[in-house]
Amino acid sequence: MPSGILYPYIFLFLLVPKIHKIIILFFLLTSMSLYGQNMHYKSLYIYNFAKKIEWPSSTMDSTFKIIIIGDKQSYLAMQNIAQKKRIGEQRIIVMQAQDIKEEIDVQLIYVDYSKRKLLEEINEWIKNKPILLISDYKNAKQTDINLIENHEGLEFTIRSEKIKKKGLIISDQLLHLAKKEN
Amino acid sequence: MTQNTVFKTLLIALTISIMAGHSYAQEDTLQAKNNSWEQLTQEELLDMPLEDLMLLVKKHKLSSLEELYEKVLNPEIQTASRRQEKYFNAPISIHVITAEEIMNSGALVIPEVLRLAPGLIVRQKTNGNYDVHIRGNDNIPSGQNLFYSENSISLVMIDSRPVYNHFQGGTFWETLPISLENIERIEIAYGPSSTLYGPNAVSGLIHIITKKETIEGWKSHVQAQYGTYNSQDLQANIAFGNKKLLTRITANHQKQKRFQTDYYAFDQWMDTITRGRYIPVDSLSFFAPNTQEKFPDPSLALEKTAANVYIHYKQSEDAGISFSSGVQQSNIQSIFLDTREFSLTGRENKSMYSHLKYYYKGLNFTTSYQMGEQNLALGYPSYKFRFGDFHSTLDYLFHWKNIKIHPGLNYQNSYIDDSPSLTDNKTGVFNGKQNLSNTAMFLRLDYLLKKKIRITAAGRWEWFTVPKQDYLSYQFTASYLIDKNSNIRVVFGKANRGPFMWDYHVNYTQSNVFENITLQTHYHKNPDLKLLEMQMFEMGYRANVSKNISLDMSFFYNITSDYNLPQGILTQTSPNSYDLDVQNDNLPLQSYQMGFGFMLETFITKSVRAKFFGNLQQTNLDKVDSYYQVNDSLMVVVKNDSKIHKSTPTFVGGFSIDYYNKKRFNAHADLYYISTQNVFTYDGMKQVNAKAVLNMKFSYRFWKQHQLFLNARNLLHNNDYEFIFGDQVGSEVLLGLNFLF
Repeated sequence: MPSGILYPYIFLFLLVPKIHKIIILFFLLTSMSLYGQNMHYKSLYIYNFAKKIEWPSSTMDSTFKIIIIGDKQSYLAMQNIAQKKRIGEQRIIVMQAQDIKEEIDVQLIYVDYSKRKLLEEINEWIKNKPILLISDYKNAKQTDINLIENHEGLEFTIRSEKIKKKGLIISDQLLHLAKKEN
Repeated sequence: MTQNTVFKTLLIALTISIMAGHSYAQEDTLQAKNNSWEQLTQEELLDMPLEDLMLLVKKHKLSSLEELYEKVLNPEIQTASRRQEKYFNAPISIHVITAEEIMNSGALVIPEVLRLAPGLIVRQKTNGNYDVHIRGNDNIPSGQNLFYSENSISLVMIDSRPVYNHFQGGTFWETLPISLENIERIEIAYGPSSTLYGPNAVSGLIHIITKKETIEGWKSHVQAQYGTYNSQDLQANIAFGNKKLLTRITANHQKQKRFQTDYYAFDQWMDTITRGRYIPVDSLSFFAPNTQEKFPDPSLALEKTAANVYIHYKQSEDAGISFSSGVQQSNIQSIFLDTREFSLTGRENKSMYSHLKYYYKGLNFTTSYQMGEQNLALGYPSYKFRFGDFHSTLDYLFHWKNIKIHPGLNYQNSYIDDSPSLTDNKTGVFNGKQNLSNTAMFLRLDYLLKKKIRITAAGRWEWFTVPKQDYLSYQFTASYLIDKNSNIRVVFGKANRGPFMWDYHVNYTQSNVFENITLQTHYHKNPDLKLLEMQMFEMGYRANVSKNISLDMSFFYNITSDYNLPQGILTQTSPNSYDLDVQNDNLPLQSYQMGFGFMLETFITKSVRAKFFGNLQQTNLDKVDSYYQVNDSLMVVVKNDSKIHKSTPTFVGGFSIDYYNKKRFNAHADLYYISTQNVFTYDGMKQVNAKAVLNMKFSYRFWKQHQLFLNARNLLHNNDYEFIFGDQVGSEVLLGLNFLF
């Protein structure tokens, strides 16, 4: 008699006795949507958002500061744009961080999917400061703008009321292009 | 699980996939701008209005998706014409298993991967050791010992280098020096395919193509997995490349334990079906002598270690040279030689090979040499050999008007030598060094008429040293492009098996004592034995049903003749002694096989890929009675009233589903189903039950490209044996790591 016969039962899947159920379970599992990321697209969108939102003049100086909380790929993609473009007259400065713990002068924070657990803490830190919070975690509740990648391309949703409270002004065109939240 | 349940499950899953696939494909309508992503600079992208950028991203993602569909559903292949072409255009039935499928599947050895292809009958004998047939014709002529159950009518090649065993045909899978990680894809061509590749591609050929992708700089990959039954698998490679040169070094080690340690013992009076039984390992010595030497590690199923080096220098776009070389050592316990003691025997093999290929425009020259030592039955004298195989092919492809003309020459030579292990009284199987060689020329014409009709005609003329007879194999195909997404094809071909050392060079005497009767069996060669031949007619339909669904169907009919069987004359030499003179002779027996195969492959969504496949067949035997007349004084004769051959399962098929997200998580499930097999052997009729095998693999990328994975085999926990007198098949779970640098 084979000796290791009970081993597979340590896994949840083996608790399902019938093949139909296993197949259904597999379909369910595989239909879970995970979050594809393509920072090349996303950095272009972030640049466009920065162009189409106005920050209070009190926060404006010669530089537009962006913090990327995520992996190096995200930082490099944004840095690439920063070297070529400005937001109005402002030079773009991109910084990479693992979290936000101290007071820092910044206009835009992008939190990528891998760091989504920090969103609540960061949002708490921002409160109503004029800092735009963006993430590609489509289910994020704390952000101002969510990027949503699907087979329709790369869409985004905007929480306009939240943004207004921070004193930022969104262009009508951006609102028009945004996907309506259900 | 009943056959009905499996059919229903397949049908439901198939329907869901087609519907989902269709609805998904219909979403792909887009009126985007004319520019493509690749045509624009980053400056232009940055200056683009957001609205246009959104449209462009959408268009780019869709075109990437189409590229993915094209790459997976219509891959490049090379086996059908011995040159690169698109799968959709292949004029014969062919199937491709890609590297991604192989790695996703969690298969532990190459034969197991073949369960992902239609028409492949893959049965596990012991853990990691398999019997593989293409479409069937198994165990013909029936009623013989297990030695003849080996598939000797399918050719296996690695990068066009045949890896065929010339002792008695077939492939010793464990001796293939490459690991699954080295494989770029496996192409399976169905039906007689000898014209371009040589004898033995009778029921088809399995062509393993190794990775040769161009890389810049260093790249390496290490995979390690460990699981129940002490299964160990380690595969590693390191590659260095630039635009001109690619160097790759690979190594692999694998060990798998048996699912049981007892041994099936035959009954000496050949009534094994009722009297054979499993013997605990500590009682083996009561049943046969010398069992320590025969079974030094009763728990071992397979252990193999190999290393390869591959160098490719690309001189220009259409010229280059490649060289590969490797060594391997393997040790298995499986079913091969029928010793009439136990169903399993130990087999050891050490070998090395070198393979050189040069190409310049249409010219292609390839030559390879393999040599080694093998012991086909540990502990039994006479089965230890040195062997060598040399292959060389020169072919040239050129165009004349609309015709591709492809002539070629081929030479093969194999030797087997048992002289180092002979004792003074010469008790070997061959008693010295024996050779087989053949020289061939072939010509293939490929004509395209008005981009709609493609006709190919190929012939191969082959001269063998033995038998002293020339053989012609051929293949004619005609395909018609109905529209850009569908075509139909007809194929008519003939191929023959090559000669085997046993049939043409055996010179062996074996003594057996049954109670008080002594039997001296003398095996004699038969230089006049004709080679088995198959003729096949096939009609096929291939279609891209939508951009994310491809379908291939084929109806085939084949006739196989010139089977052979050992036939003997029994002479009484004293009251308790007999001499049996045995030699292989051709039989009037013919097999007629008719069948239908299909493969449907689809992306249900861009991340979920599914394959459904099946092969339904019936084989009839004609002129079967004649061979039951021989040896009636000694052998068990079983009346076979029906001429329907039941050793080939009526249905074999299954499905595989992959969810792959390049970022983090991959999941795979596959189900392989094989219907009942009734095997008529030397020992009588035995049934191998229908069986479904479900496997799953889940992997998670935890850091950079490094993955952790869980691999579960035979989840339905059906431990029925799959091969007559083989081991039960257990369930296994393995945990592994994949490091990519």
